[in-house]
Amino acid sequence: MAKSDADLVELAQSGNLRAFDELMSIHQERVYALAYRMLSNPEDASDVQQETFVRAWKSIGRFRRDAELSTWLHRIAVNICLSMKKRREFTVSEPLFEDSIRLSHEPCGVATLEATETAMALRNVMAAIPAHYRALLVLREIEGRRFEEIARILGCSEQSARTRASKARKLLRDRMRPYLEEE
Amino acid sequence: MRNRCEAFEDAIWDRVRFGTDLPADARAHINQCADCARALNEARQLAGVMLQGDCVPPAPDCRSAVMARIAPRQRQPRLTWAYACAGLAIASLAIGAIMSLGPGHEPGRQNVAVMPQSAQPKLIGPAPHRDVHSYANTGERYNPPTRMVKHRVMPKTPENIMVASVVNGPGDVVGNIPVPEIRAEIAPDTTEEKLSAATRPVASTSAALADKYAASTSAAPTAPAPVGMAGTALSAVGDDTDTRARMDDSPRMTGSVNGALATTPNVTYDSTYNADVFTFSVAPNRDTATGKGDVGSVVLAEKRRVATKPAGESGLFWTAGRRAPADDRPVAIVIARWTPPEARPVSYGYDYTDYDTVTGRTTTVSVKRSGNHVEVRLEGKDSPVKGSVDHATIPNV
Repeated sequence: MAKSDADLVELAQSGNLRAFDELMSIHQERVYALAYRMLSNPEDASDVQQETFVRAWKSIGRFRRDAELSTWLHRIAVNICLSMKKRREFTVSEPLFEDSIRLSHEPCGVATLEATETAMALRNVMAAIPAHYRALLVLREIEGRRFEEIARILGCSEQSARTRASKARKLLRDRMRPYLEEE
Repeated sequence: MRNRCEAFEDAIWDRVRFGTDLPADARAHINQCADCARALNEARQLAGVMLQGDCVPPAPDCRSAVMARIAPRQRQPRLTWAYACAGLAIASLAIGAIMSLGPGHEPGRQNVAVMPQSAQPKLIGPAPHRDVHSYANTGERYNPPTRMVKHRVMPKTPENIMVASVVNGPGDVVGNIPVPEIRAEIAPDTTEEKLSAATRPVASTSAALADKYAASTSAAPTAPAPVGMAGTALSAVGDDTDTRARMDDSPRMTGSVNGALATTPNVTYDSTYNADVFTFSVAPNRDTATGKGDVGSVVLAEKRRVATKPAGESGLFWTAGRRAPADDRPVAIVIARWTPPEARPVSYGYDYTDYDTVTGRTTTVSVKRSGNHVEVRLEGKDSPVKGSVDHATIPNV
């Protein structure tokens, strides 16, 4: 019989690696997806995925079981992504246009859409907006999470999450306006 | 009016994103408000593009990689036996050498110099192995094994040796040239606390000397491929000793070096080791012939929580690939003290093995110095990384 998250967490907290392994198998895809959406780079997303679970293992003893494990994991992942984005501010990143082209060759079924001007513009705009706004857009508009959960992931109040989401949407709309059709 | 529009924003996005019905008051408002009608139209288009463009590649299975980092490593009995046999062989040879030099040996026979004990490599043996499961429910903390090989072959240098920051190529004048302090030697069995204390920064600076220092690569780095997970190593070269501190205990790097080396000067990043934060500033050093290169000069700009004065030491920075140094990326930093032109040239060499307690991999770092030419080679699981820096002094520009 499959164990619940709570059971596995309890075992993992007592040092059981097998239980932690099971937890990883349950949550690793969503953690990776979140990281990929935040960073738009499969290698970085993979790094974040690994790092998230390494950090989770190190601090699982401090995890309070009244919260959702997935929320806690996603909070760790978002924090890693945000620090990674912050680091990137120092670097000369690859041209985003090239990145879009490269990604458009990936076998994902929406290559045609990726190639469109709007889709590429959206990628570039999303990559350029501040990371904490991007996190809001990913969590709310792409992953469709509730503000209550977003607030827990980002470690802020629900009202603050709503305010930030509003600003992020406005920023997105303003920057994407040249690519959008008027009615 | 504006506040009223903002009040409907969530409703608009929920409508386009989740297909929820617009409340009657929102619908009525949108019918009358051109801004909100436009917002609804834009939100609809954006949500569509975002969702259709949301293409996440299949997630890799990270469990084995994570397990390799968090689970204890099994020691290989064969390796242990090999160490034991090697130890016995060395001991036999040493006893034989001592016996041959003893009072009873033939008169007139040439004595053989014996390397002083302090110069002999010492090992910090791995901690006795215990399965990680045995720590469960005991309240004990799992401490992974560590190992450091130490060779002390650096000759004593003049006490008035100058320490200077290095910039890449001719250009900036470095004003602060600190006077070095005598560092405590770090014994091979040094605890992390002592290690941290012994690598405190140089205390004082002198602005009187404004030499211009330049550094350039004399050899293009070979294929900057990963060299295994070395973690981060900090190597500081002192007056008559060399000290090394492993920094792979989950170093948290902020800022990025690699990738910016080619075009961006004066990149800085922080690395934490124990309670200290090392701030390095890195100058790019790209090989002009090949257009490649990840070798840059490094200035240890600051070490916080220990002193507020800048350390002002210089060194070399090595890393592999275009990735930023971060947790588990192979990075070696060698802090070298450049000598002034009038000082006796310093030559030494040492190497050490960096044993990553997380991944269990080892990387050998070899440092060779001849005068103001320093070569560093990082060799691990994969392709080696090699490079060198020459240090030149141009008086008062």
